[in-house]
Order: sequence, then structure tokens, then C-alpha cells
Amino acid sequence: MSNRYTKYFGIIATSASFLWLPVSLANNSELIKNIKLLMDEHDSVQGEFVQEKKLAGFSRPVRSSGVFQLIKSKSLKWQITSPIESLLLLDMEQGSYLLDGKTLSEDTAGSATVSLVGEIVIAVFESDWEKLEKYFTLTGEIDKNEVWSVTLVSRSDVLAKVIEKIRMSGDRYVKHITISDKSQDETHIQFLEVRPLTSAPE
Amino acid sequence: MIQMEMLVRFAQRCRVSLVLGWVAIIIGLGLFSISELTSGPQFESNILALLPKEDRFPFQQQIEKKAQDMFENQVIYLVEVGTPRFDTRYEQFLTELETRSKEFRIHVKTDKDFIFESQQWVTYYSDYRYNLLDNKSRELLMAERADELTEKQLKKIFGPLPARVWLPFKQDPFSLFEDWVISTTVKSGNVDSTSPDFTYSYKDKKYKPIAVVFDGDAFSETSQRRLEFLFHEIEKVLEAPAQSFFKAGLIFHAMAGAEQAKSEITTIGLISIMTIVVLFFLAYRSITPLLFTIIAIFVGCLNALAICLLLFERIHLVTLAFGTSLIGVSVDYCFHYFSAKKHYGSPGQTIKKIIIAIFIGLASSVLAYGAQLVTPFPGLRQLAVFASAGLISVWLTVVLLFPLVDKTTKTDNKWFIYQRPIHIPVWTISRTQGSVMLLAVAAVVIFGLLQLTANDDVRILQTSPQSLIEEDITVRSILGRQAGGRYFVVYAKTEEELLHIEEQVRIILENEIIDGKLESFEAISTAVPSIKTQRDNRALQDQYLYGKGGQIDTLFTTLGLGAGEIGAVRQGFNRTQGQFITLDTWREKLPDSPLAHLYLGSLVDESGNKAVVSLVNFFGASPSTHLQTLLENAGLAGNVYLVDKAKSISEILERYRIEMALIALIAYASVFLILFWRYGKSVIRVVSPVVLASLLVMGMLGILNVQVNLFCVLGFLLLLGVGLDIGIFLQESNAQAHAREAVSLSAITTMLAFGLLSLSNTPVLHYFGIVVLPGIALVWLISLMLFDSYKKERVCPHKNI
Repeated sequence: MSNRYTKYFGIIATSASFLWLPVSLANNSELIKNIKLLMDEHDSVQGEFVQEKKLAGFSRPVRSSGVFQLIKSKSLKWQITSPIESLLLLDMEQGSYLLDGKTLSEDTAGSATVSLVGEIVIAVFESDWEKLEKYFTLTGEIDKNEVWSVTLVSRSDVLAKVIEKIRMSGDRYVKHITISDKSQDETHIQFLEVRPLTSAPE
Repeated sequence: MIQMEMLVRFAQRCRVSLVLGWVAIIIGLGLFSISELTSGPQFESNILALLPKEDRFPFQQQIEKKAQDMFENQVIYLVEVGTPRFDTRYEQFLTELETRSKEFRIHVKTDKDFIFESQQWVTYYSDYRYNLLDNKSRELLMAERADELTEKQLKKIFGPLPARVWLPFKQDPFSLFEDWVISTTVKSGNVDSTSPDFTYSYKDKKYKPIAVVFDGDAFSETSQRRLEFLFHEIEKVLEAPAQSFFKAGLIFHAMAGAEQAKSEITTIGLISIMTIVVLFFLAYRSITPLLFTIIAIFVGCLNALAICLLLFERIHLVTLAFGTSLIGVSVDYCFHYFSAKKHYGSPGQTIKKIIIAIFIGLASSVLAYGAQLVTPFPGLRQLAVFASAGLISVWLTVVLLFPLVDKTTKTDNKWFIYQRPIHIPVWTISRTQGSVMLLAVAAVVIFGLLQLTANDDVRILQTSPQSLIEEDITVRSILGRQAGGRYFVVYAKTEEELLHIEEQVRIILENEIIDGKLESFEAISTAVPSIKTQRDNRALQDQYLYGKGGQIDTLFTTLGLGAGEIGAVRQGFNRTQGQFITLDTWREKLPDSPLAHLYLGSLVDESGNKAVVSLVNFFGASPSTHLQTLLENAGLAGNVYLVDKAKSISEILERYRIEMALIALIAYASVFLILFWRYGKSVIRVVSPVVLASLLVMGMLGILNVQVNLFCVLGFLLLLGVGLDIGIFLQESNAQAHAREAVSLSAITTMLAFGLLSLSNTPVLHYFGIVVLPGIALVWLISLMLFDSYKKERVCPHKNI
């Protein structure tokens, strides 16, 4: 899958240097440990979502909603039901990213970064803290109601061009995610009715 | 023959003035070369400099010079990163380079520069975004499928993935600018897409590239020495514990080539001289002949070098390596002098007896070497000049100075302890034996010639060690730059026309990429579309997206955005009316663009012809002939020239292989005629060893499946020149014992010199060697069979010279 997605970085490209700061895990590992204690562990979950995207320069957010299924380390099925119908399938095992049956990388701009963005989004949905630490500096807290919240700030300039900052919060499950990019767009996703996946996924 | 004898007598009369003149020349040339050598001689190690410069397309010299600067003066490092320690050392490596950049006249480019450039880049282009479209979007709009753009955009906005990199939604609602940016960027190899960091991955390791661009010439020794020191110093940073890195650049090949040629010169020179020393002791058991000979060879080499320095701007290292083999050839005259002196006693008498023989020998050698002068190969001309000047110098030194300085006589036992010549047998063969041998030779020749094939591939000029070539391939595959070295030159009358033609060339290239025949290309028109294209793109967006009834209404309404918002976007679109990207503003605003070097500007040649010129660089395997056909079919052949350096070099090599084979045939024939004039029927005996040996070598090359090339053909010319000496000397001296000794000694030294060449890793020298080495051995053996000393009275009419 690697070559298809390389285009995107082309111009920044041929090379790019990063501010790979040495990671200090001391405080974070404590925080992560505690968050992990609070969260339920399931191999797969399903639920509903409501998404609000704030486009820079426009006051009114753009709303969409639908259902999702997440099988840990395997796949994410993201089905938008309103206001349009659309199905996004991220297959982590095969590294394929399909939007309504079409490979994302072929025809959309952001999709060129899909392998990176996809990996990060999945890590966020799965709360894969170890992976997230690789890309972001992580700060957070747990309040007295055992609700945790975490802010992730991109470690690299190139990544920050797509994802600058991510805020997540939740209790037993992830409940809210807000992804901010450099063009000031903000995607807020609220998860509802999150529960373990009962029936085997199709 | 009378003329030649008269000439000898005339020369004897004015011997004093000749000697003085020659000494003056030696001193003059000696001083000249010493002053040249101390002021730092210009040595050339570029193997391609051996090839002729031909004008195959307009402004070739200017264009190739620029293309060379572009491709040759750059070194790429890929340094391993991925662990904190390696990352720190990568930074250290970079700092080391940057702090030394002034001192070593280098310019360092890293990923950081590219990021900076890209931001500048977006700022510049966003003003013209409505003039830009990638192919796919343009096709959709032209097919009146603009609604698909809206649909795609909606799915993206309603979807969870962040997808916008360059401009906010308001400025680029259909993401067309984003798509255009992606379409213009070159695919760049094994970029590690899972890493947030911009690195390349190879065999489970991560690498970051650093480009070092240097001033000067990759093939000049001064640049090489300067940069070799620099690279050695900075690479120390990556030692202990070893951090892996790859590097690529023409200069490394140039350095390896120069290093190799130099070490070969030293080895060939040393071994040749050592053998000569041994042979002299065996034959003469005295130090004097050796001393004289070394002085003669020294004079020969110094004069040859001086004359080359006078005539040529730079001396090619291959010339020197080849020239060193001259030691083995020029020593012949010394052998003849001393061997004959055993027989004749006094120096004056000796010279008198051998002068005609060695003169004819010299003449035939110079003729054979000199034939290379008619080739357009600068390198071969240099070889011809070097060899001829060296041989003539040694000859003159032997003839003019030896008798003068050598005051010894035959009875002077102090000087020549060992008076008798080494016994070299003459094999008398019977008619039957001869016939059988001839039949065997004929069989080998016919069988071999039938299998003889030629190969003019440019790779026969390849001198680089395998490890360097492999490293190059690795670097190119990591960076995604396979099989370069080819490019299009685009000519036009105006900039606009140039960009327009390029756009048509790009259609061809893009289709080849879709077909998987090419990997990528670089063209300035991707960064600066022609005004016509910009107008067309804008018109399409006006008609289907932003104008009245355009998709902008559908998109914004579906998103729940109102008329006010739509109006603002429309206003933005209309504001940019009439603004175009031009080459001038582009170059002013983005001077460091990686594509800037492709625009060569307006060129003027000597006859005042003018053209605006650019290069289109492409990578991949699609055959040149196929691309040429595509150009012709598109009607572009008149304005676009496909440069395929490897192919054109191969063509040159092929053409001259055939031409030189003809010249060699003419040389063999003319030498035969000249010698016939002197020897009459006996010419058969003088010439047949060389002819038979040449045929046999050809046959053997065929049987051994060695493919011949231009340099083999030149080897046959040399074989003629050197091999004839043996026949001439034996003939002129009636194959007396001293002559047999002399030709045998010189055959051994020649074989050694060329034998060493055949081991050379420099292909040009190697091919000379594999022809001349067995050739001389055969000439020697055949000559000794044919010259039956007992019949000398009958067969030689010139015994009283």
C-alpha cells in the first residue's frame, strides 16, 4: 500500500525533516494507565455517531450522522445515513480504504494521506495510546466523575498540515472526539449507544 | 631505396646540428612539462571525454553543459534515522555539512528547505488557483460531470477523515487546488507513509535524504580532492556504532575511475620497468645499456607528455595509462641498438647498420598509431599524439645521442661482459608441417569469424566498480528515480509556445505512466501552465462550478449554507479574473523551485539562431524509439528532441567501429604496398606473421565469444604497427642472432605491457590488451618459424645496408 499514498507528500517532499522530540513518558504513562483502568476492553464495538464539521469562515456547522462498527486491529465501518448515504470502510489488515467501493487514494486529496490519517483515526477510535504517543504529545486529566479527557498535539509539521490537534474524552468508551486541522476546520464526533458488538460483522 | 640511403648519408653529414637541435628540443620540452606539472596539470578522468563531440540537436553544447551541471554536480546522501541516537547524529551530520558549506563551496538541501519552499509555493499559487486544474477534474468538467465533484466533496465533508491540507474550504470549495497540488508532485519512491516523519524506508530501516550541490567540475581533480576530504570528514559522524547510509553521485564514479586509472598507470609502469631491468641484465649483463635505455624512455615519456600538454587542454588519464605501455614498445629501439652492438662493435657502425630497420619500424608504428588521428575521438587522438611523440623521441634519442654518449667498443670488456646474444631458436618447419599448420589456422579463422559478433553497448565504457553501481541503484530505487539519463529538449519561439508544446509532450508522458511504461517526469509546464491552458481551466470552472447555475449552488445548499456565503465565494472567483501565472513572476517568486533548472531560457547560437528552450526530464523504461514514434505521431518531432545519451554513445561507438575497421584494412593494405616496394616478393614473409596473427586473434575472439567493439578494432591497428617491427627487423638483419635476440626481448616487453592492459579494469584499455597480447605472441612465434637464418643469403637482397 505504501506507494499509492506517497504522492501527497511529494511537494513537501523528496524529503522532509521532523522535529522528533524525545518522548518523555513519565507523567503520561501514569495517566494512560489510569484511563485504561476506566475503559472497558472489547475486541469490537458498535454504535451511533453524530458529526459536526465546522468549516473555517462559516458559522453554521455541517451535520451528519450514522452508525459505525469497529473491530479492533481489523476494520472500521463508518456508515453515514443522513443527510446523504455513504459508506467508508477502513481495512487495517489489507491497508485498503474504500469510500462507497472506490479506493480513496485515487481521487481525493486527503486520501493520499489515508494510510497515515486512517491509521491515526483508527488509533483514536481504538484508544491505542501507544500508537498515538508516536505521533502526538499527549496531555490530559481525569475528573472526579471518572470522565477522562486528553489533548493530542501533533509532533511533526507535516502531520500538523492535516491534523494539528485532537481532543478526546470519554468514560468506559470514547464519547467525544474533536479533530482540528491547520485550515481551522474542526470535526467534532459524538458517539452514542456504544456497546460491544454482539453479532458477527458481515 | 636509393632515396633512403641518401637520406641516411645526409643525416650523417649534419649530425652535429641534428644532435644539438634534438638536445635543445628535449631541454625545451622538458622545461615546459616541468613548469606545467608544477603548476598543477589538468587531468581528465571522464571516460565520455574520450568520445567525439557531435552536434546532434540545436544548442547541444549549451544544453548539455546545463544538463551536466544539473545531474553531475550533485551528491545525494540517505542517512539512517529512526532511533533517538541516529536522529541526533543525522542532525549533527547536517550541521557539519552546513558549517563547512562556504569553505568547500557546497550548497546543502534538506527536507527543511522543501517544507519552506512548499509554503511559499502555496502562497504564490493560491492567488491563481482558479486557473489550475488537474487532468481528472478537467476531464470531469469537460464531460459535463461537474455534479460528481459536488458529490465527492459532500462525502468528504460529511465523512470523519480530515482531508484538507492547503487551503480552507471557503477558498477551495471543490478541493480542486488540493487535487492540482497532488497532481503536480512527483511520486517519490519508498516514502514511509506510516511515519509522520518524512522518511524513506528500505529493508526495515528509515532514511532521510540530504542533497549536496557543489561548485566545480565532477571530473576535475581539484574538486574531487576537495570533496573527498569533506565527505571523509563528515562521514566520521556516522561511525561507531555504525549508522548506515547510502550515497550516490557522479563524482564518486569519477573519483573511482581516476583512482583506478592512476593505480593502473603505476602498476603497468612499474612492472614494465622491472621486466626491462631483468631482461637487460639477462641480455647484456651490464648497467650501462639499462641506464641509457631508462634515460631514452624518460625523454620519450616527458616529450610525449609535453606535446600533449601543448596540444590539448587536459590530459586524459586513459592516455597516460595507455602511454605507459609505450615503455614496452619504445624500448625496442634500445634493444636493437645494444643487441646489434654486440655484433658490430662500434656505436657508429651499429647505428649505421640498424638505422633503416628501426626507421621502417618506427614509420610503421607511427602510421598505425597515427591512424587514430583521423578518428574524431579526442581521446584517441591524444593517444595517437602521445604514442607517436614518445616513439619518435625515443628513436631520435637512440639514433642521435646513443652513439655520441656511448664511447665503448666491442673490445671494451668493462662495458659488455656478456658478448654473445641469447640463443633464440629458429624453427625450421617442413612443407608438410607448414601446410598442416596453415590448414589449422584457416579452420580456426573461418570457424571463429563465423561466430564473431559485435557489441557497441555504452556499458563497455563503464569503469565503475560493481559496489558503486549497486549503491547507485539502491539510492535511485529508494528515491524512485529509476533509469534516468534521458530527457526531452523542447524548442519554441516564445515562452507561451514553449509551455504549450510541453503540455502536449506531457500528455504523451502521462499516458505512458498510466500504461506503466514510465514512472515519473518533471516539466516546468506543470508549475507554469500556458496562458491558454490557464484561460481554459478558468472558463471550465466558470461554466460548471462558480458561474450562474454552477455546482456551487448545489454544494452550498446541501451543506445548509446560504446565498450570502455563495455570493462571497463567487466574488472571490471574479476578483482573480485576468491574473495569470507567468514564467517571469514564477521565477521571481519561487526562485528555489526544484523545477526551475528545467527552464533554460532564450538561447542564441553562433549563427545567431534563437530559441526558447526547456528540458523535460523523465524516468522509466519506455524505449526511446517508442517515445520518438509517439512524438512524431503527435506532430511534435520538429520542436522536441529526445536525448538518450546512452543510445547516442552506442551509436557513435558502432559507427566508428565500422569506420575504423575500414581504416585498419586500408592501413594493412598500404603498409603491404610500401613494404612491397622495398622487399619485393619477400614482403610476404615480413607481413604474413602480422596478417596471420590478426586473423587468428579474430578467430579466437569469435570462438571465445568475446564481442568486438571499436577498441578491439583499434587494437588490431596497434598490432599492425607493433607486430610489423618484428618482421622488418628480422628481414633487414637477415634474421641474425642479434636481431632475433632484440625482437624476442621487445616482443616480451610488448606482450607484458599489453598483457597488463588486458587485465585493466578500464574497459578501453582492456580491449586493446586482449587483442595486442595474443597478437604479438603469435607474430613472434610465426616470424621465428618463417625466418630461416640458413637461407638468409638467398632471400635477403639488402644485406649490405
